[in-house]
This record gives sequence, C-alpha cells and structure tokens, in this order.
Amino acid sequence: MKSIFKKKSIKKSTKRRLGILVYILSLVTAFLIQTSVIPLLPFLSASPNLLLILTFSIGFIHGSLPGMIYGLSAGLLLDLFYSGPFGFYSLIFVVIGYVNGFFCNVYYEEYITLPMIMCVVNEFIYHVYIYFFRFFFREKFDIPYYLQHVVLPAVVFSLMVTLILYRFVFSATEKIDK
Amino acid sequence: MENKKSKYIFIVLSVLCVMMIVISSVKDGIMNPIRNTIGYVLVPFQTGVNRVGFGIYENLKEHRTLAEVEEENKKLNEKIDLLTEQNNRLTLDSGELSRLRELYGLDQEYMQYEKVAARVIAKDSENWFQVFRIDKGSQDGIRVDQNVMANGGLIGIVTDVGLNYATVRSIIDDESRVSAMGLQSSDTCIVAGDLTLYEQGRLRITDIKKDTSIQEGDRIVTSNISAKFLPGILIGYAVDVKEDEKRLMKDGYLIPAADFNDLSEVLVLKQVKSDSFLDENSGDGRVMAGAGSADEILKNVSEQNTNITGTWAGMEGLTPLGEIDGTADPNSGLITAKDIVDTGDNVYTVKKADEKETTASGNNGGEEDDSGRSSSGRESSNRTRETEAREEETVENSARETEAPETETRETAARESSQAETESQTIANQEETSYQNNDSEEELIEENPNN
Repeated sequence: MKSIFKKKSIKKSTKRRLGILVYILSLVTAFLIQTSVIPLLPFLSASPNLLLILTFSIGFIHGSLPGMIYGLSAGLLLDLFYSGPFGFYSLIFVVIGYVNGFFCNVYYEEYITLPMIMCVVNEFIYHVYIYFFRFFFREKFDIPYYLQHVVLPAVVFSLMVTLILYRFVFSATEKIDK
Repeated sequence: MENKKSKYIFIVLSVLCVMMIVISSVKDGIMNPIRNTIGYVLVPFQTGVNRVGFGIYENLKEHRTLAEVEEENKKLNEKIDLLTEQNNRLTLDSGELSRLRELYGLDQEYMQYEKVAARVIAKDSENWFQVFRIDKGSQDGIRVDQNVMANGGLIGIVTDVGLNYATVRSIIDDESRVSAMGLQSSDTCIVAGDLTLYEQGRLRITDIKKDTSIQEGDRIVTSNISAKFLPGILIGYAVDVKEDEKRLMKDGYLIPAADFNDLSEVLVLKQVKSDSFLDENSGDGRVMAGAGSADEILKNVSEQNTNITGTWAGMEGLTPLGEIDGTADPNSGLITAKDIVDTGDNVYTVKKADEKETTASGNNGGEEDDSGRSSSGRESSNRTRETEAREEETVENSARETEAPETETRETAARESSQAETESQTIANQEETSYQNNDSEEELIEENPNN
C-alpha cells in the first residue's frame, strides 16, 4: 500500500525532467560512442548512425516537437565537430525528427517491423541528402559505387542497431510515463 | 493545435539551419566560438574513451602465447640486421648529401621542421568523409593549415582548431587536393582523394603534363608551388601512369606511403606554408628550423645570410638585411599623391611633425631604416616646400646638419664591414650639405664606394 502511494506522489514535472535528463545523456553518450569508439574498432567497415536512430525513434514515439528538438541538438553536435558547412547536419536531423512525428498518431508503436522499415527509409534519405549536396554538385556521378560501398553497409549496420536502440527508447519512455 | 505549433517551429528551425549553412559557407570561422566551447567540454570525454580503449587493446595484446612472441623476435632480429646495413649505407650517403647541399647553399629539408605529436581521438563516422580529430589544439600551438604526417608520409592538413582539439582532413578525403611533384623529375601534378578508390587504397594523380617523365614507382612529394603544403613531404608512389582519354595530359594512381587503416599517432608540422611567404626579404626563401612566426624568422637570420645579402643589398643601395627593423613602417616617409596634390600650410605642418618624429626616434635607436626614413622625410619636405620662405629652409638646414652626424654614426655603426669611420663621416657630411635635393637612395649609393 505504501509503495503505491509513493509512486503516485512522483509529480509530472519531475518525471518530465527525468525524461529530459535521460535523453540528454543518451544524446551525449551516443555521440561519443559514434565518433570515438566505433570508428576506431578495426573490424567494422561501416558504423551505425546512432544519433539518427535515436532521433527518429523519439520522433516516432513522442511526436513532432520532441523529435525536432532532439534532432536539432544531435545535428548541432555533429555540425560542431565535422567538416562541411555549419547547419548541414542540423537541417536533415530536424527534418527527420519532424517528419517521423507524423507517424506518431497514425501507427501503433509496439509493432517492431515498422521501426525497421523506418530505419531503412530514414537512412536512405539521410545518405541521399549527403550525396546530393556534397558529391553531386562536384560532379561525382558514380552512384552504383556509392550505393554499394557506402550506403548499403551503413543501412545494414543501422538496422541491426535499431532493434536494440528502439527497444531501449520505447522501454525508457514506458518506465518514465508510468 | 499541437500540429500547427510544431509546424511553425519546424519552418523556423529549417529556415534557421539553411541560414547557418549559407553564412558558414560564405564566411569561414563564424561558428568557432561555439565550436571551441563545446569542444572544450566534450573533447576530454573523447580523449578519455580513446585512452581507455587503447589501454584495453594493449592489455589484450599482451596475452599472446610465447611461441608467437619468439617468432616475432626472430623476425625482428632479421629486420634489425637489414636495417643496420641500410643505415650504414645511408649514413655514407647523407654525408655526401650534406656536402652537396652546402655546395648549393640549400639547407632546406623537411626533417628540420618542428613537429608536435598528437593522437587521433575521433573520426567522422560516415564513410563519405575522411576527417578526424586530434587531441592537441591552439593551446599547444596548432594552427589552421598545418600539415599532418604519420608513418613517414603525408596524412592530411588541419582545417579547424579549437582550444584543445583540432580537425584534420585526410588526403584520402574526397574533397582534398594536394599540389605535388615527382621527386626525380620535379614535374608538377595534383594528387586528389577519391572515395571510389578508397577501397583499393589508392588516390588519383591528375594534371601531369604529357611530356614529363613520371613513371611507375616514382616517389611523389609535395611541390614547392603548393599554397598550403610544405615542400618535399613524401605522399606516395605513382602507379599506372598513362595518357587520359583526351590525350592531352597524363594521369595515374598513387599508393600512399602512410598507412591510413591504423591511424593512432600523428605528427603535426608546426610550420605553416604561408609564413614562408613573408620571408621574401631573405632572398632565397630559407626556412629556419624552430622558427614559429614571421617576426622570428626575420630576426633569426644567420650570419651567412647577412653577409651575402649585406653585400648584395649594399650594392643596390638598399638596407642590409640584418638591419631591417621588421616592425618599422617602410612606407612612412615616402611621397604620396596627397603630398603632390596638397601644397601649402597643411603639408608643411604635417611634414614638420613627421620630421620631428623621425628625429626623436632617430635619437633613440640605431636603425638604418630610421635614417633612411628621416632622410627621405627631409627630401620630401624639401620638394614640397620649394616655394616656401627661406627662414623655413634655414631652420630645416640646421635640423639636417644636426641630424647628419647622428645618422652617419648610426649607419657606420650598423655596418659590419670595415670602413675608415672618420673618413666616411666627413665625406658623407660634405655630400649631404652640398647635395640637398638628392634622393635617399642616391645618398647611400654615393657612400658605398667608401666600403
């Protein structure tokens, strides 16, 4: 009896703060793992894009606005650290967070194959965006090569990691919303 | 409502991102303060993760069997024997090389460049780009456009610097272009990174002139005409050189000398190529080892340089190298269009003030540049005041005469060659008082027969 009362006394604001803290922590951790740990592992030929997976998961589960904000912060982190014009990654992450929010109210979130389809589609859009703006304008038209050697490994790896990460985001959301 | 609100926010954020892209494409470095701050916080994490991972990896490596270690020991001993023999041969060669270099007066070699060791802590996670971060930054002396080497070959160039990190673009990145040349033939070419060749471990060489002699196996090094890369750094070896489809130029592939799979420690060359452009006065573009900035380069000129260029400069009537004050403005005493156009009181007062300034500064230092300036200041004031009253001229004459012995003592004291000091003084004084309207250059030329 006492335990039920204690759980009910957790206010909504602290729950929200806890949620935000968890997401910020996951953002930083994913960024560190994605940039420092994975590229230095010698046996991986491609790396899963953890920040992208987290962005569309949050967009899908929580809606457009949280997805956009998370996407913006992830994109900003990537922009600060990498080559290219500033704002390049922010733009695509914001768009992905927003668009995935549309599916929030439409589909049932526990259905596992849907995140996998979403992962493939989102990764594809992301890589096409990078290719189009950084390579196409420099007249590098060898699309089959890029598809086979860059996009495909990245998509496969991300798919494998989506199964784990999406579950993580989903269960974290459930625990916090209890 | 929720949808509308998020739609507006989406539009605002997209517009913001596009603006940031446009601004940062047009103006470099505008995001640097933010990059610096966040990098300052996050880079220690990246460094920490890297150290932990490296430590674990080293630990795992230690647990190998004794047989493996013995085998490796044997191989290493064989290699040592080979290397010792090579080393002996090379020592003989290098003795001859240094003698030949002395003969030609060259002392430029990239081994003399000051280097900083750094460690790779993060890489761009996409396969689209080959950009990585190192754990040294501006507080360790890293600057933009410094070249990065590893394993004896060129690796990349620094593109971005923060307080405690730097971003390096590797030469195998798709957007990288290095101006290079063949070592034996000195024919220039361009080494370009290409994503499609990344799997094969190659880069492309383009723009080789048709009648050059770059062949298979030729060493390719960075060229002297490169705007950003220091000359003479080994990039790799040429393979497969043949004419291109249009039969105007040749192109080929390059196998890089450095190993890109295994990058953990790199060396950053502290010398930036654009610094040596400021070194024009030294006559032969020498690079001094250990010199960081242009000022230091100017001040650290060796004796040999001074002697050579001293006589050379003296013969042409210019100030010898050793006495050039790098901080002085060489154009301050020159006649400008404004002086020619303006006649009248303004110019007089300005030039008088100028003269007083140069007198004052002349009293302080022993710089020949000052004497050059003051004399030219006098000459310019002479020309513009030809229509002035005589009182002003006599005032100026007395000023010049008091200045003359001072400038003379300074000039002779500054020269290192032996002169009869009293002789030159009296002769110079006579020249100055008699030829009032001479150029400053003519003055110096007339004194030089006294050397």
